[in-house]
Amino acid sequence: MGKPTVDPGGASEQERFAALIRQHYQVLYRAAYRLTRSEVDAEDLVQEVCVRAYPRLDEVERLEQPRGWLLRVLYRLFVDLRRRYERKNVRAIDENEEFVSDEPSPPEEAERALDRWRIEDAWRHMNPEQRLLLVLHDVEGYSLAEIQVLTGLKEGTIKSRLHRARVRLGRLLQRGQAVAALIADPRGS
Amino acid sequence: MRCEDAIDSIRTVGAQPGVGLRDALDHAADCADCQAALRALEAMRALRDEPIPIVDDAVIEHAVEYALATSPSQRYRRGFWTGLASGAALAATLAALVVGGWLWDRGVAPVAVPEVRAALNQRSDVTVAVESPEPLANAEVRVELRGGVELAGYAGQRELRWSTNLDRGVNQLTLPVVAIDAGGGQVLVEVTHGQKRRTFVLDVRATVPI
Repeated sequence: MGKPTVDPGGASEQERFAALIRQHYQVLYRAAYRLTRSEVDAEDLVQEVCVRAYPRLDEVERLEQPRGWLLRVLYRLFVDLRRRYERKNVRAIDENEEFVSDEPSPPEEAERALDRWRIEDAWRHMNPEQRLLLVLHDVEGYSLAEIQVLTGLKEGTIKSRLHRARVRLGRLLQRGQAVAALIADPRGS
Repeated sequence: MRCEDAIDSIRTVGAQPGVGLRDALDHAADCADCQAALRALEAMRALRDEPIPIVDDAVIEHAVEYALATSPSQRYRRGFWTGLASGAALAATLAALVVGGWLWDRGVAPVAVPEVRAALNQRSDVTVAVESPEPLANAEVRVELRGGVELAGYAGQRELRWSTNLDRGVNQLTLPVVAIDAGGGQVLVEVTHGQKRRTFVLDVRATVPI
């Protein structure tokens, strides 16, 4: 038989859960957005984390750092649900962004847009494990030891996979640069 | 020099001044992999500086609501409120089974129920059933204990509250009632959804083994 969960004299389970999620949502969303590069997918991913967290509310509340646990769940979900986030629904370019405009835009603005397009395009071709390591280490700034805790991978493995991920991304960016140059100057002059 | 170490030296330049930087730069100058990795690092810096979209509060509340309505916890808790068929195995242990229609009435008198006999200081499972014409998310359940009764596992607690989802059809709640006083007592079960409420009151009479 199930156990009625109640905090006598305190907040209900639902209220405690809501408070936990409200407290950590933005951090989870930021990580999810950086991984998925999509607002919709980021919301979807965080929602999955919430679904996983609720049944373990008591356990999570007892942790010194619930945020670490929630992030760990998020990262694992991102890799486990790779089909959902891999090479689809990735924001290739903002729909509102005037990549090609009738009006001339300042050169540096166009260059920034092009850079962003190249990064988005390259990112789309990275697998979830590679994205995860790059985001954790090179964007979020986690140490190898912290990533070990989050992913369960050995430090040496993380280091070599991280390097391979960087090399792959760098090559994809280079390819994107070549394509962009071709678009800008089809005759190669 | 290994590529990983060269990139680390270049990446952390400033943090670890002079640590093999010259060797690292020499290595990277002739290494296509390292040049690609450095290009990636530059892109990652751009991502790091990129603003993150602001999430509306409504999105957060929706995530919470969704989790409450669909997480495995709700299925687990339906062990408390289970479909009648799946509860058949419990039948042998039931001291009482009270079925109440979900009338969506407001402030009506509690459902009349038969008296429950429970051996003093021994657990007796008592089941209350409520029929719902539709699935209901987040119905509130309140159990109040009056007089000489307790719930096994909740010694000293006179009231418990929680939320649960009700399935369409018959849902049942099994309570592990313990009569702790020869005078017996009452168990009140109240199920609320919005402004609609259903209340059951069980009279528990303690029986003393001869």
